[in-house]
Amino acid sequence: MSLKGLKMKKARFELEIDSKVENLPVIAKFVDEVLGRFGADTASVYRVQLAVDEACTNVIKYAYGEKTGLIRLEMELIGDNLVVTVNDKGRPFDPDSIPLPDLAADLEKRRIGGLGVYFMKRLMDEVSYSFDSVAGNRLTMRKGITRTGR
Amino acid sequence: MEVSERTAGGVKVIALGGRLDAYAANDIERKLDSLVASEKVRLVVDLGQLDYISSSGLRVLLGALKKAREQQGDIVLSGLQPYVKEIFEISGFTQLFKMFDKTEEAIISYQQEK
Repeated sequence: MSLKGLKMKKARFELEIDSKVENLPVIAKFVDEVLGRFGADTASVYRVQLAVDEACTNVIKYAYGEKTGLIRLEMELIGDNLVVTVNDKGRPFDPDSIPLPDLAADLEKRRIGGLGVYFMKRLMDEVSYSFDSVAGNRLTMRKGITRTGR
Repeated sequence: MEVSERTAGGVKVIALGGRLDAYAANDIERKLDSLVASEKVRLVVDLGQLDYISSSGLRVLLGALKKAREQQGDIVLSGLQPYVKEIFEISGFTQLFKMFDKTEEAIISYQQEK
């Protein structure tokens, strides 16, 4: 696939997968393959993989909890912007409801919560969330990506 | 993920390879908990072959460090790859853990404490 071809039309990929932690490596591989097709550089691949991994981990652990449901992951390249959408039909989980971690705390006071959401916000350019009683949770993340010359 | 253990001059070394995500985290948590359960443990976690870490992996390492310190022990890290190191940096974890480029340096750091 050539970059020229990609530029002429929007490129979009989708993955539907059960909300199980053992599927996280499968999700990572999907992100890697799609970003490879989009020609993204290694640093972008790593950062997007982490943001998507954290988003899906939250869906698995908090939105669905003990239950298993479907996660639908959409990845789209619009110009030089990657738009990733994570959809699920679990309980509402608004990342903005999670307090950001105190990164400067010493060991005694350091709490681990909130790092996943912090990574999503830090590594992507934009993170937005919506909930609809029919469509469920919808997390959208955008990132301008640097492309390699391949 | 790949895990291997050894002891070098009274220092325990556990090497983690592959991906430390929420899937791998529970097994690694159990492993580290058993290692830090003993008093005054001197543990090196060799991350030279670790390609990836998420917040779930950081949580496990932080929990183990707290437990080790409670028992007057310690955990130091070695060999972090650039992207893994970046995640430690943006999380403020570089202030919590002592880190060395090479595992041998980490082992020697314990031996010099004697």
